[in-house]
Amino acid sequence: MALPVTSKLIIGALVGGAVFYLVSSSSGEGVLEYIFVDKVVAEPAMYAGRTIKVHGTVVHGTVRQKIGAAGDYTFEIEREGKRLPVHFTNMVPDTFQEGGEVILTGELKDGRFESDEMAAKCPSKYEENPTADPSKSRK
Amino acid sequence: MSIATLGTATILLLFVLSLATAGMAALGAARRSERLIEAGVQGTYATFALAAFASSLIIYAFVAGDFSIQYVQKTSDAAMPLFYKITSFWGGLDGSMLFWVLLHTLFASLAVRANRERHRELIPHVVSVLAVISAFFAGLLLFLKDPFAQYLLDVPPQGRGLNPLLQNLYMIVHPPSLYLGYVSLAVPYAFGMAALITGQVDAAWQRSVRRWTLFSWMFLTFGLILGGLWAYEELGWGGYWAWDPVENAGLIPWFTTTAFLHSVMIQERRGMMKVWNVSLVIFSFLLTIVGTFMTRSGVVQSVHAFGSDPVLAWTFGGFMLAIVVFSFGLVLWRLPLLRSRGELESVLSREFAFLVNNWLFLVAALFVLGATMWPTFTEWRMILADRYPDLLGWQDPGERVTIGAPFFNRYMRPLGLALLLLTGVGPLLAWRKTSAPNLVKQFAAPLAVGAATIAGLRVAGVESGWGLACFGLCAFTFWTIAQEFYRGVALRRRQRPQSVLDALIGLVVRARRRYGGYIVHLGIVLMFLGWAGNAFKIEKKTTLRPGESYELGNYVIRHDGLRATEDWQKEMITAHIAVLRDGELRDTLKPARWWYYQLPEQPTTEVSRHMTFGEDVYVSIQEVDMTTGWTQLNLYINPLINWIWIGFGVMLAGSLICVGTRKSEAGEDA
Repeated sequence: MALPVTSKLIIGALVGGAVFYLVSSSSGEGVLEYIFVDKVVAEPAMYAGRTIKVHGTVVHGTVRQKIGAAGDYTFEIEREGKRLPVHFTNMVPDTFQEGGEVILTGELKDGRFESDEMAAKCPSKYEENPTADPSKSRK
Repeated sequence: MSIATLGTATILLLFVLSLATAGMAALGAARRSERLIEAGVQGTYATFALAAFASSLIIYAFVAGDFSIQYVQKTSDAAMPLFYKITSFWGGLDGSMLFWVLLHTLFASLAVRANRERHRELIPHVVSVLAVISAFFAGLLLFLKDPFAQYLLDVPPQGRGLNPLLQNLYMIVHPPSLYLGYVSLAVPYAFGMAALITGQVDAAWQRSVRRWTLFSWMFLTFGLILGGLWAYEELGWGGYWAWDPVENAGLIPWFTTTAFLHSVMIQERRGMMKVWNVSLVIFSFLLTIVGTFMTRSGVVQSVHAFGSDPVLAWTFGGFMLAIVVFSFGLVLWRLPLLRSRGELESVLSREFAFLVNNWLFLVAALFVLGATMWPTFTEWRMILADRYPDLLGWQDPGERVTIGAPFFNRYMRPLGLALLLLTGVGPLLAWRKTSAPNLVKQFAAPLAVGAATIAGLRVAGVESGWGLACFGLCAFTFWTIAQEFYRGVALRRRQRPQSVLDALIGLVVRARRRYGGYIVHLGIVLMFLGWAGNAFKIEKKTTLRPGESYELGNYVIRHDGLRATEDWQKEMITAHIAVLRDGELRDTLKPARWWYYQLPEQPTTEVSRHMTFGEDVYVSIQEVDMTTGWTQLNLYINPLINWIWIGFGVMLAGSLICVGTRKSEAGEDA
């Protein structure tokens, strides 16, 4: 390039400065740890008090809905026999069902998972996975 | 012979013929044998004929309801309308791969046919590269994903049916459109490779692929927008883009293709950036394979990934590695031929603006790719640490992380605005160097308009910084485009008295590529306007009984009752929702929930919206209680959202004008 050195320096400083600002001012929003529910139940202290994503299966017969409120549910999710009670305060997606897998975003408070964001997966949604191992299955 | 056997045999033949075609063409080029090359060309056409035959067999199986074929049984049922039976062809993994092969061989045939006289030297290599790619996909079909695989025992009497979410018009048009874009990118790649192999790396190969790339780009854009529209109208969460891995997979090659469409102009004009351009073509093609890999192998978690398949993942991994080694090996080998003829003379030149545009697009592509793959990397890290505890001495393998929309938005927003700025600036700069008086002449008015817009909106009470910046840049860029059209029209009218409309049409027809490009840019500006509206979105959830009302922004939403109906496919509950403004009824919306008999545990949400140029009132319903009429409502006001779709229409019109460029004006440019 036949550009003068000052131009190059200015461009470099601008780009570097912008990137530095963006990265250094980031609070890590949008980046969350993703943990299976049995691990959360085994070591609750490790995960309490911050926003995480938890993956588990909705236990049959545990879903309760508060009548009259727009989206206020309690239910339990489990994996490998470890259960975690959930309080969910939002509308549930179409694919939410007992026995289905969910990924909840929220915070662990006093042994209960407080969440208002859910991605529910349905095993039959796109392609069946005949050897359904929950640790390997995909959303 | 059954359909299934015939189908599998056809795919086997397709695989063998693809390999033979690649071999004949390569050998023909090495020995300079016209006969072998001609055999390769004919082989390309024949592979298309075979792919078309296999596709018609699978479609026949769908229409006839041949449930002994697993793929047919899994993705269709007898009750489905004929139209959806046919489109089930690409509704699942195996069929979509066959569809891929069909399109690929079709494009290969078209490209070879169009260029066989014009680029005789390149053609044998183009043929063999394209044939190797079709052999890869035909091999996948044959060995891993045979769409004609049968049930050996216990043939189910009934099909399972296509997921109701996929039974709508967008889902029929959206995947093929993305595929058209994806698959057609193999053609520029093949020409790029042929140019490297033969050493004819000047602008000739690019002239033949530039229009082709534009075509791919158009379909990619179309597919992405349709996917957004589908999400917006079907899923009921009030948005259109969630940075889902599968969406990203379509967007990443879009970035590199857009970059290429710009940078190729620099090469044509100034003989610069040859390595860069050929690399972009390689990247774009490679990224389509990466995208297919991400969505088809289950490596990346997504709402619409197809399920996990490690064998497929490794196969794709091997193929990608082979592409990288082969392509960049050729680039390295030809490096001496790829030297730049021109040099960058000033930062105030169009070359420089295009260069920055290219950097930004590449950064965008790499960023989205990296962020999309990051969760997978963290998972691999955990698996590695688990299997080999001593490796690198990792004490803490960390957790698997997910990357959500806020992360993407944080970085993509400034990047997008920088690109919008360049959309305005680039075309107004002169090649080589812009003089100071020219700079003033070009930018004084647009800058003033942009600043006035920001000031005006600030006074009017707009507070969002991003919103202001976006609106200001939209106004600035819009003005630069308007100014170009105005000046062009004025010039024509001075030369020869004519009406404004005549002058405008004459202007666009005379220099289609330039003014078509401006129209595409205008579409981009309108789309940014729609995205900026997102900053002012209103989102509410509430529960209403019939007769009750709710205030939503400037509107009042009133529940007028529920209706339960059914047809032969599903039960439906429809809410009647009145939309009032200033006490006046504007619209009655009918959001609904549908329960398909085939999948009753998974009801679908039917959105209803009141559309205006200014905003959408968007309503979907959740839980309903038929006895009390109690209804959970999701309510959204999405300002300016319809400009995204309008902007896309403008963009499409602009790119059609560009694609229609006559050969005589191919060298003509601003």
